[in-house]
Amino acid sequence: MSTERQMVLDTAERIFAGGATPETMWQQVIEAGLPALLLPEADGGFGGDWGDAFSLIRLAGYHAVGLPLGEAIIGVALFGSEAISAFDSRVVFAESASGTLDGGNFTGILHGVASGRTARLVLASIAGQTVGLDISGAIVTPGETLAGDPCDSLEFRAAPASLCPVPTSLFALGALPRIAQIAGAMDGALALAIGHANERQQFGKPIGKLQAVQQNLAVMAEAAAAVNCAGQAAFQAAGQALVSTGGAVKFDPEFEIAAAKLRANIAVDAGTAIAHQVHGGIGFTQDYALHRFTRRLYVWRAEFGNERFWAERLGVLTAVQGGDKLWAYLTARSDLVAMGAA
Amino acid sequence: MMDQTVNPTPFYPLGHVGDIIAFRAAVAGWLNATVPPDWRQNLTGASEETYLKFQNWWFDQLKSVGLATPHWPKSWGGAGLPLSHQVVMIEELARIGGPMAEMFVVSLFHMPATLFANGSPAQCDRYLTGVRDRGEIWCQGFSEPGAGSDLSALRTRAERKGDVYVVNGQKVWSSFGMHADFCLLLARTNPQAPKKNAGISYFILDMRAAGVTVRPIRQITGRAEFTEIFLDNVEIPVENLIGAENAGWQIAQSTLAAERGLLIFEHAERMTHALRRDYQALTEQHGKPLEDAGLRREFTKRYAELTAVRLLIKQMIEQGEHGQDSGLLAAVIKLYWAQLLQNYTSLMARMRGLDAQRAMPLSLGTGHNSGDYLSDFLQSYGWTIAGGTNEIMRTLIAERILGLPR
Repeated sequence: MSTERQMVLDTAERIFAGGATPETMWQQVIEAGLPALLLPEADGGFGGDWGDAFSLIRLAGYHAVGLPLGEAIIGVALFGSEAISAFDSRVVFAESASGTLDGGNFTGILHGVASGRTARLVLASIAGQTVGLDISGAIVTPGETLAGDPCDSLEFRAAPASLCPVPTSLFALGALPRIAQIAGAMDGALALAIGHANERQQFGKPIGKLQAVQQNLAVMAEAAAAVNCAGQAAFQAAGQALVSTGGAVKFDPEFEIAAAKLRANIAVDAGTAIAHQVHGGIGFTQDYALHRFTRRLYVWRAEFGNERFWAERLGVLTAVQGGDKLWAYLTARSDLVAMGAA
Repeated sequence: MMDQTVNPTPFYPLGHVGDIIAFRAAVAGWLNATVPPDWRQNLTGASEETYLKFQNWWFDQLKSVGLATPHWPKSWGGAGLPLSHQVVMIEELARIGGPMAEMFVVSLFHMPATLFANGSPAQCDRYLTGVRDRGEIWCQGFSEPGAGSDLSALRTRAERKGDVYVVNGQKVWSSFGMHADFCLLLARTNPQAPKKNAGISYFILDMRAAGVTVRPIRQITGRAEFTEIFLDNVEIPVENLIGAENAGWQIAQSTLAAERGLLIFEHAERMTHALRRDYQALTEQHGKPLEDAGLRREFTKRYAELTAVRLLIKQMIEQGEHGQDSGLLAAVIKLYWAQLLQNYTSLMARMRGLDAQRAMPLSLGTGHNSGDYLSDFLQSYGWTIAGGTNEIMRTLIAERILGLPR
């Protein structure tokens, strides 16, 4: 565990809880250097590990912050310090791309780019290769998620694309922030629901004293804990993958990411239903904060792979091992990740 | 009572009562001739004014052929339409995907259900006529900030002073309160009553009376059909008391029962057609979600549940035709429907993928299966929470049907 984690989290907590507009908050995040979390201190980063990354992105989710902090942290780690010097740490991911790469130039459209309009560098997977594109030459078609966060399309014409090697698919790396954001938002919505249950008086007592309400909250807490656990494992695996890319061991973290995104997506259904049910009518209003969590949870669930997508990937990864080798496969993976984290 | 106005169009469904096949054909013919094919598009992203105008227009169309109040008895100026014919009417309306008269739900169901059983002849004459002939809009003033599931804890106070009750307090979650002419109001008249629910009275509140302030509540979906109603020294004439003083709790039960009956039948019929449309769209959708075994299972389960809830409703309608009390079955149906609607809209929001997560202009008055899936899903919490939360309904079933200890 990184020794500076608490310091970074305290800084982030002050920014996330500060209630600034998204634009201002994004500026504060960049000025605090948070996107450089994973870079070595020699390169101007915090020298943080992937456990730190999970905690920080989770904290943003806990405050229902819709900024692309996770993409920036992972993007800077992949692209290197040039992402900071040349692109002000404003790195985002495209969920999908249509178009062609011709002589290193991209012509086409990138879809599902969260915060594309305020970003400087976008990472995209085109024809099986992960590339970085300078957004300054792109035509932006703005869009909005159901949570009100920007999610845009970017059109490029013969834009120079620089290769950016990644240890797994960019799509899987894009799922990582969403897992941590879901983990945080589940805990945030749970905290609101518990607070409400303890305050709201009906039948002469707080509704939190009713067993039906208690059991609902316990089911939600269980789902939130599972996402946090699976999320930490996925981030650890991703860290191991990046450590080993340059060395002899080739490690693809897709298995852990698939399991964690699937678990997170499953948790959203039960978790949001319970949070709303416990809140009653008040949770249905825009004045109350719950919708800031639940609407984002629905969006994050759908982005970078729904349940069907990741269940199929996980199924394939599991089935190819066959019955005999599955256990050995699982233990070998977790041994390797544990060694990497040690 | 006045005669129904005879409609000049060739379709006059009420002329075919008794011949259910001809009645169905006349209803279908009239709907086809009347419902504008582009009404959904016109109400997508529409202003509140456009919505209000369209709801009033639709009510006038229904009224012109006697189909606004077909379920009211003839003695109160309705059509006295047999339940079997009401069922046909709703089936046809759902089949064509016509508009819902949602702004008039309290006017058409809750208010009459309350007055038929408990209103004075003068009240019935004034207020039933008001809806039937002038399309007056009613809202309901039951819940308060401190009294939701525990409704009998309500604190809005009504004190008798001469010929009026002076009312002070606050109501919340009143649908369409900003458009309403009148409100079904519960208020406490005897704070010293031994049991909380024995000191409550039931009033007709004129929403234009001095001291009434209405504030819309913006909801998670972006709509604002719910309102808060603030009552500051509002004077209600004594003749607007429904039933006896302090008998309001019993009377309120007849109001609440209204939203567990035919209303759900209309929603379930509409979902049946939505399910067919959704099925078609899913088979054509990129990625073919219905080829996924897990999603197929879930979709099929929802279909089975929809079939089950329709059968339950049919059973309830049959009980109603034989004059049997179906209050407890209605509670089961309300709970079952609320869960089904939430599960179905959740499934659709997930199966429609990223497209369903994008912000879209709201489609006003198109019901619970508007095709804007995430918005439909969010709206489904209206059923699992409003009119008795799922938890309250389960307690009711446990105590009153299963006889479990209180």
